[in-house]
Amino acid sequence: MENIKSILNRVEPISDESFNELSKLLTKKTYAKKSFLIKKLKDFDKFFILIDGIARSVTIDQYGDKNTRSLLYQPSMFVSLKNNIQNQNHIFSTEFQCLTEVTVYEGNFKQFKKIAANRIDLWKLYTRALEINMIYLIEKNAMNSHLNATERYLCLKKEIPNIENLIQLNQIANYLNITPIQFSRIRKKIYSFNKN
Amino acid sequence: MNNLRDILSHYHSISDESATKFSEILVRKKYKNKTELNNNDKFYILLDGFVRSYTIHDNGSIKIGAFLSKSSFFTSIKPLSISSNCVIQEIKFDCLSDVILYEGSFSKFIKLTKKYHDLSLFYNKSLEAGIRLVIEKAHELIHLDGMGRYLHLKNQYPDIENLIKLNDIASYINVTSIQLSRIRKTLYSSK
Repeated sequence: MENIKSILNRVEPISDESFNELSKLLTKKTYAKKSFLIKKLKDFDKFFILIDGIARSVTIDQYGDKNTRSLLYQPSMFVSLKNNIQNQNHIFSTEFQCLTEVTVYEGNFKQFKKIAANRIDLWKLYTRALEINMIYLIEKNAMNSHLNATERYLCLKKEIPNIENLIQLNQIANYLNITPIQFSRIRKKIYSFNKN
Repeated sequence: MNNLRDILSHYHSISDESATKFSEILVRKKYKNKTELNNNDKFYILLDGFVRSYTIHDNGSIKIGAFLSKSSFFTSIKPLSISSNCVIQEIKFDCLSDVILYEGSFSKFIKLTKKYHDLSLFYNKSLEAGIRLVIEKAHELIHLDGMGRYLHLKNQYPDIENLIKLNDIASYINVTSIQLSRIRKTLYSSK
């Protein structure tokens, strides 16, 4: 539980008392590689604090085409959009899947909102988490429109230097929105150039 | 200030007291077409007109992030003071038409949210709505091709061509102006 406190404190410092209230909602769970954190209706009320492993959020369009929107690694917090902010006429759906074995604390988001309503520090934590997420997503959009595939790859490498050891290459390609073949060519160019 | 209440209640309904306090930090302003809005410690509520947000990358490329139309509530990311990693330094705003808006100090607003819980709820709701927009844009950029993105935009703003320049539309849907012109030719000449 202590490490979870330090994760939260990095987002927004909260009091011991609020932390105790919050920890009552949380249960520690381990999910196997490839299992889903959020997929079915019963998952939509859950929120997660990831402490180990890598998960991804996936968007699926009406033709069943899948794309990795975000890679989530320690420390990150996430929640399904379905009950909270997604509107009805959405053109896609989202799921959260584990890319490695993943350890999380999970809890009920409605209950969190209930206790946060009376505690300013928890509410601020929620607000701050929203702000951080918003910036992260704006960045991802800017990345997709300003940069070409090679630059996107280098950007990801800067963020997670050992990414290749953690998840499959075709998952990385999917995150960069290129085919595995394009991705392999990009890596060949970068790394064979370095050797010479 | 009545229509201000209407705009706010799209996100979350707030009490009379909070609304009064909130309106005290706002100033109603008019800006001319092409004016750049200050992005330091300001937030805006757009009453009339059209504004775009854009990002500039180190390599000089400028991309439009969002079109903001009537009753949008927006601020730049600077006042949030979160360090970003590598892609963008800041988000800028400029007017695409003559606009009327309320502007206010973002730090004063945050101070108010600490005192009035309903304003804080309102802030959260508007952040959530913002996240929804950004996720939708992310989805568009990834899953749709240029044509799909154009049609999606037309679906949102059917008369977009009358409001802003084609160049800006092309930048928003992340295609070159030549590509956009071909997309429009394919669509409209087949009719």
